[in-house]
Amino acid sequence: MRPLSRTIRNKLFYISVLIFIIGAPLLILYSLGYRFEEGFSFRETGGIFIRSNESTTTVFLEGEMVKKTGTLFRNTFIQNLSAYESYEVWVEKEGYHSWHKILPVGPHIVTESATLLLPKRIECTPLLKEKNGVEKADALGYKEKEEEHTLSLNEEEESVLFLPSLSLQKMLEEFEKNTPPLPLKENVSEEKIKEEDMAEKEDLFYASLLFSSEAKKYSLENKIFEDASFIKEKNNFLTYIKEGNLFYVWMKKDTTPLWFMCLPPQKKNEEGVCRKKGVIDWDNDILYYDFYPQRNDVFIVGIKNALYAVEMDDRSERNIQPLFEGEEEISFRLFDEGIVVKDKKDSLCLLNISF
Amino acid sequence: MEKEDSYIQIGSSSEIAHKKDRRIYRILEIIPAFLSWGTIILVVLLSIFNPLLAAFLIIAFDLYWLLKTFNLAIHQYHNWKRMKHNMNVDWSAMLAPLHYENIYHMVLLPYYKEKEEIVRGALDALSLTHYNSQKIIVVLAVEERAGKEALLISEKMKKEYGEKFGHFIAVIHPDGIKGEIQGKGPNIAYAGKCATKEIVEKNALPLENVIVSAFDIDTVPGKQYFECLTWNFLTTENRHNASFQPVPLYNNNMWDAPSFSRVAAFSSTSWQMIQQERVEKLTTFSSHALSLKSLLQVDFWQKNVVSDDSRIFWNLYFANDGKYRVIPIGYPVSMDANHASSSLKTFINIYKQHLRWMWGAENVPYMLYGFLKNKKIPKKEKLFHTFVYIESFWSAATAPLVIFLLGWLPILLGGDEFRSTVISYNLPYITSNLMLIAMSGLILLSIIYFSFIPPLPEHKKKRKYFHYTIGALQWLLVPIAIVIFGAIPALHAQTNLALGRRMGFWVTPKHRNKKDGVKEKSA
Repeated sequence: MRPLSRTIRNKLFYISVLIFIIGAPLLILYSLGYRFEEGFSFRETGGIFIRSNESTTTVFLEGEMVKKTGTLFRNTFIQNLSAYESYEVWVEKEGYHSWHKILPVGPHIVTESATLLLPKRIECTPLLKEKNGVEKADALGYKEKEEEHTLSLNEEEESVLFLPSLSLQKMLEEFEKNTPPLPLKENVSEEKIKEEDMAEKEDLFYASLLFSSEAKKYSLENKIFEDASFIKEKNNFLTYIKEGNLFYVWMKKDTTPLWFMCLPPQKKNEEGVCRKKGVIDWDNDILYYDFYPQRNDVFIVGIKNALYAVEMDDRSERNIQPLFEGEEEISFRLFDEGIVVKDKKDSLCLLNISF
Repeated sequence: MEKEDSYIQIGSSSEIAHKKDRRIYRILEIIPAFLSWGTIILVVLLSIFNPLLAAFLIIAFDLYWLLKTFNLAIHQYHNWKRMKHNMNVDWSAMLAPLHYENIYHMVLLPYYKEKEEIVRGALDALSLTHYNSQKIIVVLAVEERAGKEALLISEKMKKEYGEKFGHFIAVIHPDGIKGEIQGKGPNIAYAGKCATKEIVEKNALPLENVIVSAFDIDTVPGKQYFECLTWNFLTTENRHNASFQPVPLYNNNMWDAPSFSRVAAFSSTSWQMIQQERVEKLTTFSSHALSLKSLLQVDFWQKNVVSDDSRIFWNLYFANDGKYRVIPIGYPVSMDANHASSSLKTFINIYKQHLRWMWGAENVPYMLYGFLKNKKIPKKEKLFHTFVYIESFWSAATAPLVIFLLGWLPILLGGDEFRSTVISYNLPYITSNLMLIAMSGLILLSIIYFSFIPPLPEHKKKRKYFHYTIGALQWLLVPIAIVIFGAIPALHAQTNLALGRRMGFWVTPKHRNKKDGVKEKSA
């Protein structure tokens, strides 16, 4: 038996070359988003990528289910969507608020989005002080009797969380500060801020130490310090409350803002547009806010007696989901343990939500 | 420039006296690393500065690789059928009409510090072959530097096996001969010369009737190997302008070697099977054979290079002005897969062995320099060999990295703008799907593997399902194996060559579990 003949090998070679010459450009065009249509023409398409904060969700596009996500692979990539059109996306999970968005699709571009799926019912576990290792303990700041607590405690479950008194004390001290802790630059320690009582100093000095040069420049040019409150620089955003509305400005110089601040081209020969600012303006005054843990596109927004998770993405109506709704005035802070809510009577509770 | 024979024995640029030629050779030594590193750096730079172009190239390369894999699989399949056919042919009957009675086989068995059982295994296997043992000249080539124990083994083997073959000689290769590296090449060259003088010349055997098989000490030829080789030799036109290449099967100890060693070993076998079908691209590798007359033309194997087994082809190619080729005989010889006393040692040994093989890149500057010096070889042939040989070392060093690792670079380094394109999302899908299709070739590999491995040893039969399952699943290690034992040692060797760091010959240690003996081959 002889080795493979030269004729067969040549045939194999030329067939492979032919497949490559035809296949490579087609494969590249496909990967770019071109789709072959009848009449030997190509249609330009784009895609939508949905990053999910929850597993095992059901994703709908234009009312039709497109995917059920798993435990490990939470995200969804939908392609073959015609460019210059908008698509309605709906994500559901049992026991959770659903997430809804209308997203524009551009040619060869993937429109990114991130779901905000929070449980419909979020318990707030009272934080109580550990006392001599005995399970019965008094809450720091609580009166002696539980019925005097103003935070709602589910009496059927009666779950409480015991913390060392020192931890509780620190939490309360954080609440006593007028503003939530500001992000500190690497070379300025918290101790130094306290020592020099910098919070009392002039805005200029304050900003120069705490903010990036971009944020400082923007703050001074726009006189943010004059009439805004809760000014922060975090996740590359300068954020502040002004006249009860929450403003956010992208601060990272020479970079494209985050995905939700950009829109793909809406017509042929148009360019995509990116904005650098946004505002959450409600009828109710926003009193305080912070970024939702591990998210740079969602705020926790506080009004007088309630907390909401609010997405910054305003490409279509924002998804707003309640975190805590009470009857009296409350405030919140972020700790390692999670989101801690405090009422007027210094009672603390921890929102039962994982990040 | 007139053809000079002096270039034929060059080992490295440092051995060239003429300054200009030395510089040329030195530049040629840099070429393999330049091309491989250049490709890797280009992929990285393109991923940063032009990720779209990088993505295009990666997709095109993956498609090219898929088609190449498909093509190679057909070659391997055909070689498998050919080997199976050749193993079942009655080669004695094939030889009957030919005058082969005066054909002698000189078998060179070099060894260093291998244990007696390994040496004995090789001699037992030789004695079991069907060829007239009186026409077999056994040359046991032992290194003096291996010490007393090795020399005693050679004496003992001579006493035990001397009568079983027509001729038997144990040659001690002296240590420290000037101009020689410590390795297999100088040992078998010395042994071949001694055997020629002591046996061939003294017995007045015609040089053109002696076929020399350069084996390793663990090489176990199939029972009809010498008949098959003789038939190929006698039926080949210009037989003294050809080397004869069997297929090295690393399966002597297949059931004892760890799975990654089996995968690495059979990947090498697979490559040799494919090369057997691409005659014009085939060069000698590991165990091979050629006529004594040819060997004397170049004074046996080169003594100053590590890759003596492939270099002998190029020596003879240039000595015959390009009129030299390798005949693939499509018949197996079995050898040991790497197997040390622990998995870690095995892992290190495989790497070292593959590094030595990849040091075959030292033949690239040799070949190119030879092409510059020899004007009698047609330009078309020079171009063909240049492309084929350089491409093989280039793709060994870069293809696994581009396919399995660098393909993701545009996504990692391409920046936000590229990351928001459809192609950036499609790149992993397309490349992984193309590779998944290419990996389906592993099913064929697995079938071929199982057709060549010896029966499961008795002591392993209790857990036979376990062993067979592992044998089937081990192929999933191929992507890792071709990166760790393919691309990385290839880059390592090419980098050393470019930097002028010469490599020594590393002898692969042979280790067999006590329960193993010499396996009866299926052929």
